[in-house]
Amino acid sequence: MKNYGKIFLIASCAALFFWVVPWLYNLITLKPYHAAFTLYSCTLHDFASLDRSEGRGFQFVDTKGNIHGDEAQPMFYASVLASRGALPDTLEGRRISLEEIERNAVFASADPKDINRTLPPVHLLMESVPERLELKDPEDALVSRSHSIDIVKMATNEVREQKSALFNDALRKQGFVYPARLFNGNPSNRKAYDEGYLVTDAQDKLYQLKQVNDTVTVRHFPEADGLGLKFVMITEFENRATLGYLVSAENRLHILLPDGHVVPTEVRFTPEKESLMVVGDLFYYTVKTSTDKGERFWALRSDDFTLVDTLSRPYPRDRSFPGLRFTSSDDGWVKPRLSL
Amino acid sequence: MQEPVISCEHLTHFYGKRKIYEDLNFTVEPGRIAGALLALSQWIPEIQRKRLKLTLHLPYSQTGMLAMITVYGLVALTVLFGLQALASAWAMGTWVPAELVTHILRTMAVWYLAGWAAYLFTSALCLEPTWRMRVVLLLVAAGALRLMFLSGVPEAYNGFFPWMFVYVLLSGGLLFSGVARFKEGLQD
Repeated sequence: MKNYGKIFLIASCAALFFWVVPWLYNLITLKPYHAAFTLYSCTLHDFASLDRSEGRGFQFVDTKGNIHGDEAQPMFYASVLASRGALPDTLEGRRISLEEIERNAVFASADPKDINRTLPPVHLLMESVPERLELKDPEDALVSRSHSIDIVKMATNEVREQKSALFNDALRKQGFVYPARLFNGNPSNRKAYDEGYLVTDAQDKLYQLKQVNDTVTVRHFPEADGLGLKFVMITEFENRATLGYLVSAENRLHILLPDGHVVPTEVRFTPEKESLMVVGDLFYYTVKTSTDKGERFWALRSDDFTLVDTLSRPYPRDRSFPGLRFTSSDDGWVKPRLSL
Repeated sequence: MQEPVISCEHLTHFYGKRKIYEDLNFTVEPGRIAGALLALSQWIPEIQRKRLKLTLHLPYSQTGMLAMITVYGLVALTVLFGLQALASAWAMGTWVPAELVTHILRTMAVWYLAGWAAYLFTSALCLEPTWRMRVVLLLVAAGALRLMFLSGVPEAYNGFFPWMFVYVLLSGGLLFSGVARFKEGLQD
């Protein structure tokens, strides 16, 4: 029995040592690395990165090393340029206005930590066509179950039987196979409009569920059938140019248009391992994917999402001391893992 | 003033239009873990003026007696935690769907396990006769308990929970090894 205690404590101390000592060493010795903010410039037709190394305010460096002011990013800094009367009135051969630039500014991001975690199958349901136009707090919730998606009235926690039956009939008529797999929406009233949820069924077919006048409507997107979707994201941008972003089984980013068309892009993105950032404007989208090893950029045309340019930038070599860790920036789980 | 292990400030929770609570504030100070408190209340009378020596001289199997006291403590804790979990599940079940209740209970499971771990480690600390070993035990206990409060992400421990459960069960052996050392005459 005496030896048991010794063995137990030696094993525990060894685990504690490999957990705490490397963490402490890394905390003291490692310096944070700030990746330069980079966007594709519609004036330079090149990627331009914000360079603050010389401390002389905002200056951008293109991929050839040339230095530019914030007029190199007239879309991103449109308000600043307009305030000093420096916003060009014509770009890419067309007249532009500040209002048009602001309306077409697009930002989206996704992180593996948001995907690699256990989420409850309960999703708040907004009314997309509110009586007084302004979006209201949701009153019902969608509860995804193995053989149905039930609508629960949150005030009483009771299933709205009639509404649920109508909704599930509509789902079945559109060929939906339970249970739902991916569920993505943004049930917040801090947005211009509501597009409900993008949902995939057990056969990875894509649907949109949206509450219109107290009835949940179902829309199937046949063009996404067979893509083996592993990630869906509703966009709800002010310009209503897109309905969502989709990632297929081959890690290829697709754009879902409001008319139901699915446009494949050249962007390769592994949602369970990489972070995604999309900054779009009237002319170009800059899509960035990153891991702890480096980042890749794709510039796409905003009108047809064709590829214009790419850029790849590795981060400095990871100099962290190897050891035992229990958490990761890539997922929300606590479990032992060796960082080598 | 020690930093609290759990701190909640001005939390208001709406579920749809229904307000569950408003402006909730509370903190939990270190050491306020049910398991640690129970272990202290059970063992402090035994180790004061080395009364454990008398207990160990009773005409009854020492291992059996130690196991009985420990199992009593674990059962008491389990009943306490079980009642608390049942009451929570019942109350929450009236407000939110069963799927959310399950989600919350699965998240809470590791905190109950922390109660068990705190009970077993505190008991082992009380029964350990030497200070050198007590320091080692304290470090291991602190590490094990820290591990159980490492993440605030719901259901973060799902996959690792069975392994932690086994580890906590195995830590129960420390009580017996402490008593074995005490009987050998090791003490400060």
